[in-house]
Amino acid sequence: MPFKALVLFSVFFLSALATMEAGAQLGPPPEGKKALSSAYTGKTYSPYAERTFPSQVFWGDTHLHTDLSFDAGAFGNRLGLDDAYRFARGEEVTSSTGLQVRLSRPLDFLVVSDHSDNMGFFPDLIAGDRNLLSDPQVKEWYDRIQQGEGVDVALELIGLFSQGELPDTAMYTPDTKPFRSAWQKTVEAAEKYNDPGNFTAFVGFEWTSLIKGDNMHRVVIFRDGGAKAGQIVPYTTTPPFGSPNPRDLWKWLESYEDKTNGEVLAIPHNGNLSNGIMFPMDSQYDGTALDETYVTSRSIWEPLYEATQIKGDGEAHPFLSSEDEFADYETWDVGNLDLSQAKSNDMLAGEYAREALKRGLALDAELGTNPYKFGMIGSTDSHTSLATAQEDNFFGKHVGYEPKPDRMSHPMMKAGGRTLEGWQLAASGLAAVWAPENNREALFDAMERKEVYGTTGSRMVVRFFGGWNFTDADLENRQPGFVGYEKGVPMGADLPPSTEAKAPTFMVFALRDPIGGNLDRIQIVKGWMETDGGLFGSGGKLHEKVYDVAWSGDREPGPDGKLPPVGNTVDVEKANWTNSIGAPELGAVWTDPDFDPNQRAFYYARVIEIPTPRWSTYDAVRFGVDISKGAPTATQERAYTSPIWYTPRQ
Amino acid sequence: MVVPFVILTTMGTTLYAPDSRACGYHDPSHVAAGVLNWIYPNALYVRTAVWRAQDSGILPKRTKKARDLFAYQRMASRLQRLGQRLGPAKPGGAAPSFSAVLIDSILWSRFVPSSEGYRVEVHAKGPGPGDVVLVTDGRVVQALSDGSLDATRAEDYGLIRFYGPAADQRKVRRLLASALRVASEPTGESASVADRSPGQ
Repeated sequence: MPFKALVLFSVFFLSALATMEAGAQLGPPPEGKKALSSAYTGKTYSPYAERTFPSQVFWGDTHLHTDLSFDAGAFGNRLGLDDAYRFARGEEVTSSTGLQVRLSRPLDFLVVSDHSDNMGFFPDLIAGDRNLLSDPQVKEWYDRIQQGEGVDVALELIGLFSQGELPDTAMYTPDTKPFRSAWQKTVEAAEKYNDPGNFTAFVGFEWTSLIKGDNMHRVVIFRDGGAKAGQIVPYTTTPPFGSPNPRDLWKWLESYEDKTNGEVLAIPHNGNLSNGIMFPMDSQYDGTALDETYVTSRSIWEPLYEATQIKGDGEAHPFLSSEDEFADYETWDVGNLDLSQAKSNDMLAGEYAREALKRGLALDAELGTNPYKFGMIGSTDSHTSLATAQEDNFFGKHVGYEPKPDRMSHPMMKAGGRTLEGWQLAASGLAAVWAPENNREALFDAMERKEVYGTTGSRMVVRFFGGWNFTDADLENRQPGFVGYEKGVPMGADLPPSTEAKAPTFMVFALRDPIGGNLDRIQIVKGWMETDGGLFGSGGKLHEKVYDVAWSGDREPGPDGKLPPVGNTVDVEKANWTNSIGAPELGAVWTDPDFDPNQRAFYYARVIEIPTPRWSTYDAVRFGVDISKGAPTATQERAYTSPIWYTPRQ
Repeated sequence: MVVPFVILTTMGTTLYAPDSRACGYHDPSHVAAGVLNWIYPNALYVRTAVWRAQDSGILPKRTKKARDLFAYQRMASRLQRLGQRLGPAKPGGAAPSFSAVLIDSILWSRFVPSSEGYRVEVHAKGPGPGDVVLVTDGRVVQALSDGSLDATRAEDYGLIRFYGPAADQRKVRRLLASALRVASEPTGESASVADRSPGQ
């Protein structure tokens, strides 16, 4: 070997040897060292290496119906489980009315929640299922449908079912093979499309309790896959296999967990069509008094609530929250679910999230458990198999309201002199879940601990923490999660006890939807209960107050304490807007100025966007029609975080 | 026990007396259209095709008009006119009968051949036995009956969908293509019509 080459080789070899030896000398970080330096408190150089808190928000719909649902099928939905999942994952599909449709961005998770009652019946009937047609009466119905009498037959079926006079063959009850087959399809589809790390498909169904037309529905979601969820069939509302009473649903949920060692939860439907029975204060709809069993069971099995969806918003009502200028948002307050009973003001307190959260404080004091200690999410309840909640991409509640020129002017529902117009449908909502990763277990666990929030369709990112020591300097951290989890608790949690006599502090931060409107403001909504002398006195008066804690621009509250509106850039003629007002991000550290350590309280953040065009305005432009009388031309999308609760120390 | 009833009524079905549920001029019903979408797969595509055709000028633009109290009578008259345009059935020929349902009103009509011409039974209960079924829309019927749209083009734009055995569909398609041309074009039997695939 030439000398020069030998030297070079030696240098190289020796360097490599030195490096290996140096590498061998690198041991684990010294024990006991709490931080790298006084200026940086992380234990490792990479702040993310030992991060254990949820750092991603995942977007989904917890309430979607396919053609397996009796009503969705009856209204013409021809899209099944596969189409629903493909669409949610971001693929383009053809709607039941022949329109190509695609989400602006894929969802991260989906719960297909078809109605358990008579699940799968409608497609089987129309397909002429042999087993069904073995019954002469069903065969006659089938023949008549083929001959053009479909409506008459559908309504006859309904009438007979309601009187319990359907032939046994036509009753798709949990003990029948067709019902089990429909459930099996549901479970298999969820397994097929579940892709941990990329897309989560939950197994689920909707328990469709209706009490004389008053909506008491719950969506049931399983943490588990087919191995466990496939061992059961969904609970229905019809005896003997089911019941419309939520107490019985909770027993069923418990029996599922006992049998399979799995986990399951239930999410009550938006209560705005329950005519007051969704959140009882003293007794249930059947007169049964609220007791320890009720409050305990509800608090265990229903950690979340659907605060907003296509059939209106359920966060607050102007009658209940007269000081809140944002309380009248997509309000449906005409009657119950089928409009058979009119709504009266005394019913409202049993329907809306904010009031329910307040009621929960009182029940906690009285009965020892808060049954309405729920986190908030949004979802669609779409019956088209298409989870669309964005204003410029709204495919309606059912197939009859997929895009067409007259959909906003066609009455949605009419009964007893009461009407809900087509334009009153809301393009809403979505569920946002803070979780470390996208899989069933992580998302479900986040739902259980209520680290979730709901939006009316936008994908704004919101962080909300409560503690005792947040300061304005904490806002300087571009990743509020680090300081949030270190110094406080996230949304959905309880404030830890404080050893000092001071007011709690809250840190809230919001980023606008990248393709959406800027932010108008962030508010913190506080609800609390007066005490009647003792620390845990029951019967104290309930209160609420909305605080503006962060807002865009240099607006100042007026003499009435109210912040002036942010303005409106919506161009109705073009269905467009500009982000020349508002702010792309807002944050605040806020200390409760009215804190009383002896009073139970909750706090949640509400983030409000600047006005952007409503779906009805997009329709007007795209179809060249007038906006229906009464329809708003713009909407201010919003997010509702799960609350943080404060309970006085004993 | 009232669950499915309420489920359906929650979705906006307006319940009237049985007779008036039969067609949509007296009671538009989403359930009727929905059931139709099952029996005749993708029948609701016609609904979308209609507004697209209005936007592109194939059909007259949408106009704001007051509710027409005589809408049913006008449509019945247009359907009769269509029947007249079909002309008399050839003696000994296998002139097909067919049924048509309008997706906007769920109005059924039967077209039955006779030596004096097609007899049109408006407001039929449903399709006739063995009939090819056409799903279309009242606005399409209007355009066909006044000669501003021909049947071939209507099908090309998804404004008519055919259902039934392929061979029977071809017969009806040929009949309509021959008889229902645009008003300025010559009518008659001289035009040849290429076979098309079934509409569904």
